[in-house]
Amino acid sequence: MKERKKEKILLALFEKEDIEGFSKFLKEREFDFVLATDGARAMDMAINEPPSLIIIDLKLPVINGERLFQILKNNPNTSRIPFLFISDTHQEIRGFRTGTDIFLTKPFQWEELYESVRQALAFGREKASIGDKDIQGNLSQMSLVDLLQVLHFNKKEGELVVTSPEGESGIIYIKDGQLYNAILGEIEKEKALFRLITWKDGTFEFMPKPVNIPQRLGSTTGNLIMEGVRQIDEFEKAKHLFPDKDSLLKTRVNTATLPKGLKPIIYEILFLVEYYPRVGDLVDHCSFPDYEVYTTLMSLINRRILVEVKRIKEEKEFSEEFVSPTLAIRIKEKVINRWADMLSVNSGKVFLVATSDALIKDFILACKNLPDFHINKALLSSDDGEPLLGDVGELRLYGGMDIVLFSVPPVRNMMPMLRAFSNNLIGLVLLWDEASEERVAHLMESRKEVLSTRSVPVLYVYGDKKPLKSATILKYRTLFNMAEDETVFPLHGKKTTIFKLFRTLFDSLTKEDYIQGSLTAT
Amino acid sequence: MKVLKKELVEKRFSLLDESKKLFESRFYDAFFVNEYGRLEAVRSERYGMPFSIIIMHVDSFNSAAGPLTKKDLLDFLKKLVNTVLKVVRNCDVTGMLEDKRIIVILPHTDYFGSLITIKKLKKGLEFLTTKGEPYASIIFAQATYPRDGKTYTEMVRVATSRIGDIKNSLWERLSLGDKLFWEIVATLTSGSHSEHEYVNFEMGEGMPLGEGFINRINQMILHEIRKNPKRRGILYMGIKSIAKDTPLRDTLNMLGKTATKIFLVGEKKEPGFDIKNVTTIALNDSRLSEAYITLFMSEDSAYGLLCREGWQGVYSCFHTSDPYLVEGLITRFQRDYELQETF
Repeated sequence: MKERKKEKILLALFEKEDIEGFSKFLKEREFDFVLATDGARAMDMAINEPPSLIIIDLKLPVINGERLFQILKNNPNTSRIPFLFISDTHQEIRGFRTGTDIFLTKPFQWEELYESVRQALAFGREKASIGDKDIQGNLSQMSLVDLLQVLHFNKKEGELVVTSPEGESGIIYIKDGQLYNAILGEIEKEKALFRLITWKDGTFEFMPKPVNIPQRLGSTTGNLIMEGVRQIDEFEKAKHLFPDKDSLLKTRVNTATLPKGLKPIIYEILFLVEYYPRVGDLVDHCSFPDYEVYTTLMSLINRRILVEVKRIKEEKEFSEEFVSPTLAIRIKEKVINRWADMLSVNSGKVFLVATSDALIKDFILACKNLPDFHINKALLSSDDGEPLLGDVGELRLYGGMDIVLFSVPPVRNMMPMLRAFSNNLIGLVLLWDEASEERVAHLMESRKEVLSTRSVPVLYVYGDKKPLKSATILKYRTLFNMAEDETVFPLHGKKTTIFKLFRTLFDSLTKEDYIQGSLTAT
Repeated sequence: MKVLKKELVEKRFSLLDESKKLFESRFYDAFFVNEYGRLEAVRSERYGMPFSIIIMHVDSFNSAAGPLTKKDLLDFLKKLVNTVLKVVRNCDVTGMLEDKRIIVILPHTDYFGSLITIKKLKKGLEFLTTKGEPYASIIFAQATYPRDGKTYTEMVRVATSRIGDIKNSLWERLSLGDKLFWEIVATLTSGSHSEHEYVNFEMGEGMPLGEGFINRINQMILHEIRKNPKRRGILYMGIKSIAKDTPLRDTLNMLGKTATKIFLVGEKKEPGFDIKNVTTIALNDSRLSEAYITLFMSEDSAYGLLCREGWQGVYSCFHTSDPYLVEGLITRFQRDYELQETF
């Protein structure tokens, strides 16, 4: 509320009805405002005491709204003031600054006006608080902890980019001196921040710029730094007690029947163990800071909720060359050529349609060891009883191309959803097993629907744990009317099946004339 | 290129001389607009800018006074052309594409920009399409470079084929444009559609899909927006009450700045409930507390979901991927509640 009182709004209106309406609205919401009923008076007031926002009628007498906007925009003392234009009809305004100025046509809801005023004031605050000089240096000369404190005391806003000698980069977002978020590769928040604090070598660069992301770090800068340093110290002292990075863990409880009220980190760890039994992988994929993960793991092992099953050497089930840089670039090129819209080219979507949600989870479990594969924990662990819908996993390829696995519910009547969200579709995976065989008809309906608008490769995955016999293959080949070059992949076969499945998808994409068709839109 | 430009200029001025008698000088013939369109596509490719075309197809005339004379038709065409020229910008190029079809080329205009121009044209031409004598049924179809085609010819082909799609859209087939928003909701949710783009289903207690599925759909759409924050779009989510305990709150808070305009609407709003980058609107209409509405349009997707509460916790739902229907629903919703008619 204090903030609002400091911010003065200049109301430049001349129609009696508007003046009454706006004055009442601003008073009710405790905004501080002044009134000018013609353009000359409004200009005078804006120059003498620049307001935080100008709400202006385009038809203002003496100097009209657009002209006044041009004048004040070119004056260095008033150039940062956001304008909220009010008009009966939509009108092009020369020099309109998208992201700063707002245009409202009458009639409008007062609720909408309130949101617009709030947004415009926020834009103004962002502009006013930002300097324009970079700060650069070396972490060996100034530690990250010291640097963060300097930025905090000076109430800076911008992005701090930290780069390790190996070329790995992390970003810390700072607004008004407060740490908003930290990102290091795939991890963020406290976990990323605390890992960055451990870096002793490397470079840093602070770039002042508006930070428009939501605050994800939930404490003050001082507390975060103190907590980070404490956790690093504690980790160093206790690391000999923690399980080895290569140990494999197994849960001894049924995760579906866990009691309510446990710490969130426990639910997350027990969920992740199923997908990432190796300690090192689990720590990397858990969203909590490393020290907290290790101490919780210790506690769960001590209580026999988790057991260490064996230690393994660094062992990759799949070659590092699962998707070579050359193949990744060819896939990206192929996708770029198919879509005219350049914004679409950073990801390709693969629909997963299964006869049950359990099969989707099994499929993701089978994908988990692919290099750079990421699971959408929030969706897979939700327990609202509703079918899975949306991104369940993501495979990141070299060159900034993501293959997104999108689960479509195995229920009837989802056709419009298949159409609406098939933008960037590059493949369709159908999953079924014997137990849910009666729902195979849904898969065929979905396939027909997808292929009626998009030409994409279809991959068939049999999810039964029983071995896939040739008679079964023949049965399903006939049932699905599969082409000669199409294969039935056994989900529970060899571990390399998933590898082969994705290679088949990528080979089809790069060789065949797939991914055609477009949505019809107005 | 120079020769072509010179020819165009000459052609343009000779055309102006002939057409002065009938139309304003800014209305061109098919040769000029097609050549201009081709050049615009080259320019857009060179500078990486979008541009759009709108084709206005005069579908039919309705007259209470009997058959129309040539003079009636010419008067109609004059009014139509003059209004179009008043509505479009000076930089837009308008001309005759073929019989019954007028084309407007909109430089530096993306998909949503062209939709806004269509809205303005529809509003400006209301006196001919709904109130005039004779009144005409006009279909507006658009195409945008590069999403719909990389050449002008391709764009004209796409826009022309869309005229057929629009005529086949449920919006036109059921004359939903003449109805109020809640009448449309009642019509659609009480139907039994099972076509590809239009499907009715039931949701709630004892059904394969529970009420929570709405949350899944909304979360999924927000996730799509978050993945492509630079892609323009509009989303209305009608939830029963805008309150702090809405299951969408965490996802909305994580969104950050996005080019999609997101509106959360409900009957009531809990005081002090604000989410950055999301506009929350309490509309004080009890019908909103008995329904779920999700209307989403982006540059490459359109999805509309309408659910009305019936007996014993069962909802009658309708969903669609038809962009014309979704656009119509958004426009009707904005008009009926006096919201900003924006995209």
